[in-house]
Order: sequence, then C-alpha cells, then structure tokens
Amino acid sequence: MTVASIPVPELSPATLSPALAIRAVRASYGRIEVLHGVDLTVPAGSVFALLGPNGAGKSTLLKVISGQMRPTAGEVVIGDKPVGKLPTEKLARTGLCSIPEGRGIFPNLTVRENLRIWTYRGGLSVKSVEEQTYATFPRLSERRKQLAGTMSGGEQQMLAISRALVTDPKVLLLDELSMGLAPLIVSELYELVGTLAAQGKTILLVEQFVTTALLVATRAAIMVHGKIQQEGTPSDMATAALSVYLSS
Amino acid sequence: MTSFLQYTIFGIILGAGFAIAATGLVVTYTTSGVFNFAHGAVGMIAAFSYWELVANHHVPVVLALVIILLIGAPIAGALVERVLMRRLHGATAERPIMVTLGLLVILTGVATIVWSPKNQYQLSPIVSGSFRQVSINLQYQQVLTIGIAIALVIGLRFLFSSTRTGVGLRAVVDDPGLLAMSGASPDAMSQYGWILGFVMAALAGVLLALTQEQTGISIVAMTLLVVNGYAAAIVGRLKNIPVTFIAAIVIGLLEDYIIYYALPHLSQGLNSDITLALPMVFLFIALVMLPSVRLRAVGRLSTVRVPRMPSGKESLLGGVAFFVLAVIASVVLSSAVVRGTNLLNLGGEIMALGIVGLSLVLLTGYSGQVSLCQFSFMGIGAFLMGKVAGGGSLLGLVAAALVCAVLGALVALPTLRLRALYFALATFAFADAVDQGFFQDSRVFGGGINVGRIVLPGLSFGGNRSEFLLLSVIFVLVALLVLTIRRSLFGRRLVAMSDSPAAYATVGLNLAVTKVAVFAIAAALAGIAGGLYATVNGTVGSSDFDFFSGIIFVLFVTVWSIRTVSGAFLAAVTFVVLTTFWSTGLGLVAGAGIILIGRAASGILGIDRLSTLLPLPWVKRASGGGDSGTLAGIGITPMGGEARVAG
Amino acid sequence: MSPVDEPRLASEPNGGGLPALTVSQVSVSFGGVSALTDVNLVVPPGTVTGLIGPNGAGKTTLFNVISGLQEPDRGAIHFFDTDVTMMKPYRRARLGLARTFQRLELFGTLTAGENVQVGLESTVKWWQWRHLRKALWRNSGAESARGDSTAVDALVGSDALAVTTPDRLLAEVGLGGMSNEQANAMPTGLARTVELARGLAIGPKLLLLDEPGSGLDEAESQALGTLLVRLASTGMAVLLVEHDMELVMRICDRILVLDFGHVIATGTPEAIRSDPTVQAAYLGAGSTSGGTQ
Ligand SMILES: Nc1ncnc2c1ncn2[C@@H]1O[C@H](COP(=O)(O)OP(=O)(O)OP(=O)(O)O)[C@@H](O)[C@H]1O
Ligand SMILES: Nc1ncnc2c1ncn2[C@@H]1O[C@H](COP(=O)(O)OP(=O)(O)O)[C@@H](O)[C@H]1O
Ligand SMILES: [Mg+2]
Ligand SMILES: [Mg+2]
Repeated sequence: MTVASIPVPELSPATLSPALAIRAVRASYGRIEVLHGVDLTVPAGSVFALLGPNGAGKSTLLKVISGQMRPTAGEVVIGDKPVGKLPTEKLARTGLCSIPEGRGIFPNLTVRENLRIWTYRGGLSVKSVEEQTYATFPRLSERRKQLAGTMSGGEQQMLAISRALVTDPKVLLLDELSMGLAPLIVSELYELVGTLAAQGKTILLVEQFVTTALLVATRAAIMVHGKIQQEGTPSDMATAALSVYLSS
Repeated sequence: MTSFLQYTIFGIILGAGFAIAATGLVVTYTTSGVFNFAHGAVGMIAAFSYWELVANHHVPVVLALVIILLIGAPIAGALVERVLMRRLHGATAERPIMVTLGLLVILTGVATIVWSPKNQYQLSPIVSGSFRQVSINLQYQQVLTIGIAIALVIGLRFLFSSTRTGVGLRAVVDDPGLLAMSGASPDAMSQYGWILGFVMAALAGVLLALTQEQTGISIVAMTLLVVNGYAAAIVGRLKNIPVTFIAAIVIGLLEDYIIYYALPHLSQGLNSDITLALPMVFLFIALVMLPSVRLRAVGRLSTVRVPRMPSGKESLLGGVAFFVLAVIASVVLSSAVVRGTNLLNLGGEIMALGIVGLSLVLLTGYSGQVSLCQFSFMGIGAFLMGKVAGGGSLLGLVAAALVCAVLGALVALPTLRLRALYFALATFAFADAVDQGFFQDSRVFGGGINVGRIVLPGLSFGGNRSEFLLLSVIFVLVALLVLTIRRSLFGRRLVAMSDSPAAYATVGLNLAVTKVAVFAIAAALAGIAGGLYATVNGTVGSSDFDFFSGIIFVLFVTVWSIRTVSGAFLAAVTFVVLTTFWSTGLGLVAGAGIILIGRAASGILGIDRLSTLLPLPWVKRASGGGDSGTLAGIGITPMGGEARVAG
Repeated sequence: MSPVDEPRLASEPNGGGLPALTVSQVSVSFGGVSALTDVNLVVPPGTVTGLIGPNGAGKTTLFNVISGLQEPDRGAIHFFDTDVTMMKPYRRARLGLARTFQRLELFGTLTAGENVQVGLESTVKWWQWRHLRKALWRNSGAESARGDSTAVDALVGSDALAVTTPDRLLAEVGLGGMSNEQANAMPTGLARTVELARGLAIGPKLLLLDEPGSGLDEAESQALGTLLVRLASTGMAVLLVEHDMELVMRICDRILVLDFGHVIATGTPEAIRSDPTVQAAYLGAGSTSGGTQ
C-alpha cells in the first residue's frame, strides 16, 4: 500500500503549542485496567500516528479522548482546556471529531439521513454536506436512499469517514481508517489526511498498516500493553515498530 | 343495508382509536427500539386520570386534557426514560420486554389500588351532539377521533422522514454513542422519544375510553384494548406509520363485523366471552403473516457477561445439599401453620413452580427465547392431571408432558422464523387466548377440579411431608437435568443460536429444529410442573394460571436470575409466598424488582456489588472465582445457593 | 444450468480433479441495483484463491450466495458435483462449506473453546447418549480425541470431532490458553481467529474468508498467511476476500478480480498486479511497486 507524493507540512513539533495533551490517563473496563498511565502530546497541525499491536489499548485511548469513556485517573486537555466531564456531544460541537473503529454509521438510517445527522455538529446545511460527501465518494451518491447497514463494508466506512470531511473539525481522531477499504481508496484517503493537516487540523491516527501511516505522519508513538513505549519521528518509529511486532 | 353502513362507520371509528394506539407503539419502537408492553397501561392510567378529573372533580374538559396530555404524560415519559430505559442500551433482547412488562404490572397494580374495580367509571363525550348523514347518526366525538388519527399519521410521518429531529430520534436507537460523537445529545433524544410515546399512549387511552360510553371503563379492558393496536403495529412492521394506520382501520372494521354478524352465531356454544380473545387472535394472525426474517449477518456482538457454569460435580453436591436441607425443613416445618396455611404445602407448591422457572431458564436464559405462556402449559398440565385416569395418576403427568410438548411445538412452528420480540408477542397472544378461551370457560375448571394425591406404583404419598420430599427430589432432578443440558452440546447450541443465528446456520446447524425442540422441552417441563402443582394443591381452578400471574412469574425469575437454576427457585419462593400472604403486592414487588435490576443480565444473583455487599457465604465464594466480568460476570453455584435459601 | 457451460480451468494447479466450487452465471440485484452480474468462477481444491475488488464490488454478496444466505436471481452453485443452489445454509455447511464474516459473527456469550466446540460437534445429534454423558461431569466435553498428527492437517472433510479438541485446534491457530475467554470480550484480532477456528472445526473442504486480515496487526496477519497456506496444502480450497494486498499477493495461487458485479480479471498474482484494468479499478497507480509496502 503505497501513497505517492502527499503534502506533508514541514513543522517541527517543538515550535507548536499542543492541540491535544493526554496526561497520565488510566482507564479500565470493569475491574480490568487497560490503560496504565498514558502520556501523549499532539502538537497543533500535526499528524500523529499511534501504532501498536492489537489489544494495546489504542481504541480505548481514543474513546477516552472523545469522552465516551471516563478515565479513572489523569486528564485530557484539548487546546488549553481540560476536557473534564464534558459530555461527548459538547466535545463534538467544540470541534473534536472521532471516527470510531468498525461501524461509524447508523445502519437503520439511509445514507442521506446519516448525512443529515452530521449536521448536528452545527453550522452546516444538509445540502452542503451532501455535495461535499458525494464529491469525494461518488459511490455514496448512487446509494443515497439505501439503508446504510445494507451497504458493503467499504461503503459503510466511506460514509463514516465523510463525517470527518464535512464537519471541519479542529482535532480529528481516526481509528483504523483503512480497515476494509480498497487500496485505491486508502491512498486517496491518506492524501486527504495530508490535505486536512495542511489546513491546520490536528490529526491523531491509529493504523495497523505501519508504512502507510508513517508516510503521512509527522510524529508517531508506539503503544504496548496500555502504555506508550516509544515516541519519535516517523522514521525512528518505523524501525521500532518492526521490533515491537516481532517480539509481541 | 343501512345497518351495514352503520357498522362500517363504527368500525372505522373503532379503527381510528386503534390507529392512535398503534401509531404510539410504532413511535416508541422507532425512537427507543423498545416494544412498550405497558403502552396500554399508560393509556389506562390516562383514562382513569381523566375520569378522576372530569367526572369526579368536575375540572373543565380542556384543562383536564392539558393536565393529562401536556403535563402528566410528558413528565411520566421523561421519568420512565430516565429511570428505566436509558440503562437498557446494550442489554440482552429479553430485557426491554421484561422491563415494560414490569411497568405494565406496576401500573395496573397501582390503578387497582386507586380505582377499585368494584366501582363504575362512566364518562361522557368531550364534544357532545351528533349529526345525521345519509340516515346515519354520527357523533361529533367520533368525527374528532378520526380527525385526530389522520392528523397524527400525517404529522408523524413528516416528523420522522423530513426533519432532522425526527432522524435524530431514530438514530439514537442505532447507536447513541455515535450520535453523541456527531454532536447531538442521545439522552435528550431518547427522552423526547419517550415523552412523545407517552403522550400518544395517553391520547389513545382517553379517546378509547370515550368510546366505552355504555360499559364504563375498566382497568383490564382499557389495558388490553391497546392489544388491538399491537396487531396493526406488527402489520406496519413497527416502523411504517401509514401502513399501521390502514391496518388499524381494517382491524377495527373486522372486529366490528365479527361482533355484529358472526358472533351471534358463533358464541352459542361458548361459555366465555370470546370478544376478549379477539385482539389476541388478530395479533397471532398478524404475526403468522409476517415474512420470515432473512438470515443475515448483523455483526453486532452482545456485551453481556454470563455467569460461570457449575461443573457436574458441583451441581450434584448442590443438589444433595438441597435435598438434605429439604429433609430438615420437612421435619422442622412438619406442622407449621401460618395464617391458616400449611407451610409444607407451600413448600410443595414452590417446588412445582420452581420447575416452571427451570423451563424458563432453559428457554429464555440459555436460548434467549422469551416465553410468556409457560403458565398456559402449566394450566393445561394441571387440567390433564385432574382428568386423566381419574386424577392424580402418573399417567396424568405423562399426558401433561406429551400434550404440552406437542402444543409447544405447534406454537413454535409458525413463529420460530420470527425474531425474538415477535416470538415473545406470539406467546403473549397464545397465553391470553388460552386463558380467555379455555381456562375461563366454565366447563374447563368450573369451580375447580379436585386432583388426588399422586400415586406412584408401590409408594404412597399420603402425607404432606412425603409429598413435599417427593417434589423436592423431582425439582432437584429437573434442575440437574437443566444444568446438564446447558453443559451438553445441546446447551451450547442453544446459546450459540441466540448469539448469532447466521453463524449458527453456517456451521451446519438447523435453527428450526433446535428452536422447536427447546420450546417443546420447556413446554413439557411446564406441563409436568402444572400436574405436580395440581396434586400438591388438591384443587386447581382457572385463577391459578391466569395470564397476569404468568407474566409476573416470568418477571420474578428475571429479577432473581433467568440464567441460573437458583434464580428459578428463588422466584418460585417469592411468588408463592407473596401470592399466599400479600397478593395485592405481588405485581408491585415484581415490577419494582425488575426496575431495580435494570439491565443486569443475570439478575440479582449476578450483580457484582450486591454479592460482595451481602455477607452470604455462597455468593462470596462464587465471586472470588477470578472471573473477569465487567458486569455480572460471576459464577454463582446455583445448587449451593438454593440449598442455603431453602434452609 | 450445468457446470459444463463453465470454462474449466483444467490447466490450473490440481486442475485434474473436480473444482471444489463452481459458480455459474450468478446474478443478484437489490431492488434494481445489480450487485452481481453473470459471475462465473471456479475454486480448485488445494489452493488459496484470492477474490479482490473495489468496495461494493459484490464480494460479500457472492459469499452470501455461495453459503446460502442470499438467494441468487439467476445462476447455479456447485459444490464439487452437488448442485447446492437451492440448499439451506446448514445443509451446505454439512457438505463441508465453512465461512467467516466481514463483521464478526461469533457466539459472543460462549467461550472461545465453546465456539470451536459447537463447530466440532455440528454433525452430532444432540440426543446421542455419548455426548450427554460427558456433559454430566465436565463443562466441556470432547476431551478424548485420538491421533497425534497435527489436528489442522487432518481436518479437511473429516469428522473433526474424532481428530481434535477445541483446545488443540485453538492452540494450532495460535490461541493456546485462550479457550476459556468469553468470546465477546476478546480483542478483534483474536476474535477473528476464533471465528476462523470455528469454521475449521466443521472439517471443511471449502473455506470462505471475508476479510480475515482486517483489524489484525502485522504479526497476526503474517501468522494468518502462514496458516492459510498450510490449510491449502492439506487439500482444502480457500477463497479469500481481502484488501491487504501484501497478504493477498504473497499467499494466493490465483486471483479473481470483481468490479461492479463482473469478473474483470483472473490470473496469477503477478499477472493481476500488472494488469492495467485492475490497477485502474482497484490497486491504484502507485501499485506497480505495491505488495511490498
Ligand atoms: N441488502 C442489500 N440491499 C441493497 N443493496 C445491497 C444489499 N447488500 C448489498 N448491497 C449492495 O450490493 C453491492 C455489493 O455489496 P458487497 O457487500 O457484496 O460488496 P463487497 O464487494 O463485499 O465490498 P466491500 O469490500 O466494501 O466489503 C454494494 O454496492 C451494496 O451496497
Ligand atoms: N468493551 C470491552 N469490554 C472489555 N474489555 C475490552 C472492551 N473493549 C476492549 N477491551 C479490552 O481492552 C484492551 C484494549 O483494547 P483496544 O483499546 O480495543 O485495543 P487496540 O485498539 O489497541 O487494538 C484489550 O485487551 C481488549 O480486550
Ligand atoms: Mg482498536
Ligand atoms: Mg464485503
């Protein structure tokens, strides 16, 4: 899976204020703790790739950031405000967009109705949302009256991602963006990620395809067993990732 | 001809009332994914409140309507959403059914206390007067009902398909978390949905009550009147409002024609009031006519954690301990009489009912099929026990098992292709039809059938004590059987079938056979239980197996834990003790219990925190088992638990 | 519709025998939108056949048709020489056709071991005393399997229950020691593997895999590839739908490309990779160097 010539913003993380900071976050499902104190700083305008084997807790971390799960300790800071107990929908309206792993759509609504839900983010019209989505994914325009749950896996994933495109978020969380998508579309989407970053959006990206992710990333970290094991430049992490996967 | 026209118009008016009820059901289902069994009960409360305000306290009609529809119903809806429904997302399919049944039971219980069924409750029309059109007398009231129904259908259709709020209301059922991530508050959405549903239920209640001018309103009739709406809502597949409306009108017409044309000829041979069973017949027909669900991969995993299964040795030890305690109890209680009731006798009833509970563990706990008609099989079993071979014979028990197994298979066959909710509705209809059409027929139980003590070859169970011990042994054996089934491949198949039907078929297993088999086995168990119950009791009558009691019993099993054998036993204890000593509280306790446990899949026995709070040794031991459950993931050792409680 | 109309791929590896699966002229449409149009394909035993194509091309629909969850409008499905077109899903499975799902369909409240065991026992009648007796004492029956050869190798088309146990089967797909985990609490990658093991447990002659690699990390998908190759070497026919081109190119003997419900190309991985139509429809321009990431 190769991505050709993606505009990667030349920004050094040190010069930027963080758009997203995670401080000593712990989280658990019932009695089982899966995040054991995670620290992570994502500079504004960067594409941050979070890598790691399955079950490391990456998706859990994204759930904590987007407010769907409360951390048992630690805090999440977006911009300069601690998120605290803000409910998920408030966070979403302040400009955080999270595309969850797997199914990020409403299966019993039609494509068009799904798009209508995206307008809850505020300041959007149904018409512009539809236009933008269909321009990026012409496939969806043929399916606008179909129940989203009956579409193919990839079409559903396109619909899910359309929310990130149309809602103009400041911070974007993408969990396994490429899952179930054809290579052609994956490379198109990563180009898009690059474009979004160039527009100044901050993107935190979880991805199984290390190479693909590192091509667009400006910074990366590896998570293992609920902890950040290493953090660094994409090229450093590429070699590090290899050894982590082999040892796991 | 004039009379035909007259009946047709009456039918349409009746249908319009049903339509309002049915649309309300559809609205609630669309906005919450919950089929609200309490919809009729909410309408009933609204109707009685209307009576209270207008007829009793002479509040002006408009003010009364404002109080009920714009203040009372919304507050109640919001409250129910907040306290009950919000917690249910992600619960097992059976849970919303149980919770709304609990609400139904509570509301009827409260209503019975507030508005004694002994009194008459008469209402007069909101708008009086009438006009004549082509020799037919129409009341303004009736025209109003039709008008409201049509306006609602158009308005709701617009809301759900053409407004963002309407789409949001539907979205919350699919995925509240995602709705929140999209910037809308799922809690608010689901609250609006329930408010809307309650207002519609109240509106239907008041309007339907006004059609009951001649007879006055009654709690049961008002609650069940809405069942007419069930059938229409099912025809509309719980989502299509216009189709629901048309179906409701058709049902109104059919009911009217049947009552005026067919019934006078039909009912001569019948001793029961067949009109009461009509809605259920319609419901059953609507269900049978539904297209089968396509086997489809849904890709959604339940998040429910289940209790650990005890091993064979553990169960056997538990069983023996249970029996030893039963022996001790039989000695201690041999002549204990509380308020005129022999406790050993009660003990026997508990064991018999416990077996019905076990049939539910098998059917609902393991295979996820909700059955609301186990009491019907129990009643049929009791009837056969009383009639076959002069009563009290072992043959009676065999007959009970066989007949119920066959009946069970017959109920399951046309409905097994439907999904869990529709299956539950079918058993609901069947239970009521059996109650109204068979049990209540005076020739069936009459004043009660005398059933002799059970006679086994070479043994006599003349005394209370020996009979109690016999029943304890049978209970233990059935419990062991159920646990063995769960450990056997059949048990794994039951769970697998309810977890993923599509995967079940693609590993080479036949869904239909498994479903019919488990339903027949459960029906046979309930039939045997009924036979045993009859011999313990000496006499059985129609009221022993009535429809509502059956529902309440299912609720108790769910409250204790429908996944464990202990749950079945404790439910039987609770049910029998309450029925004997505090029957008014029966429904209220069951309803309160179900509200308390919310979505905990394994009931009280499965709640982590409770088990660590209570200083009960067997619960402690179980929760120390290192199970990694998030919710109810602890392994109660069922037989052990029972043994303690019995002693 | 006879399978003879179908162009036989006699020159393919193992082509001498009957194909495990023959799909002839299959069409499916959903309310006017056609998802599959006159699809023909064969899957020979002992190979891994890749089925790739853009999103919405009809791959999952084809799997549903083959496994009996979707009735085709036209066309026929043959499993070896049996016409299964009208057969119920469970009957096809009993003939030796197993599948996994794009979105997991596990028995969520059973343990991983029990999931596999349901598959292993799928041919057993539940009233058979032998199995009931085991249940009297143990939580999981079927502990006493014979034979020492690795279970997976002996599985194909056999009475799986006689060859292996859930624990051993899980161990061989890399899930040793996981058999008591409740399935719905397992991480995606492992859960996918449980689903695969459950499919293997019925002793299939044909295995349909719908994106088994999605959600797997690199180590896991490496292991998956090795397992699939090994399965094919035992004589099993594997039909693999997958978007991870690296995996597909590495392990497939032959690849079919579906686009808008039509088969647009068939051939070896090399041929497919350099096929311009496939590049345009699916792989993308950058893919000439693709497959190695
Ligand atoms: N039940 C249905 N109703 C309507 N259209 C459907 C239905 N099922 C599938 N489709 C359509 O048929 C087409 C083929 O779907 P299918 O799921 O087979 O694609 P796929 O090749 O598996 O794609 P992906 O790689 O994205 O999973 C899609 O365009 C989908 O929208
Ligand atoms: N809903 C859940 N209930 C219980 N455990 C869970 C749940 N979701 C994830 N886990 C567990 O938490 C750990 C981290 O999972 P996840 O965050 O999904 O990892 P990743 O996204 O890195 O693959 C895993 O061990 C997984 O089993
Ligand atoms: Mg993840
Ligand atoms: Mg697919």
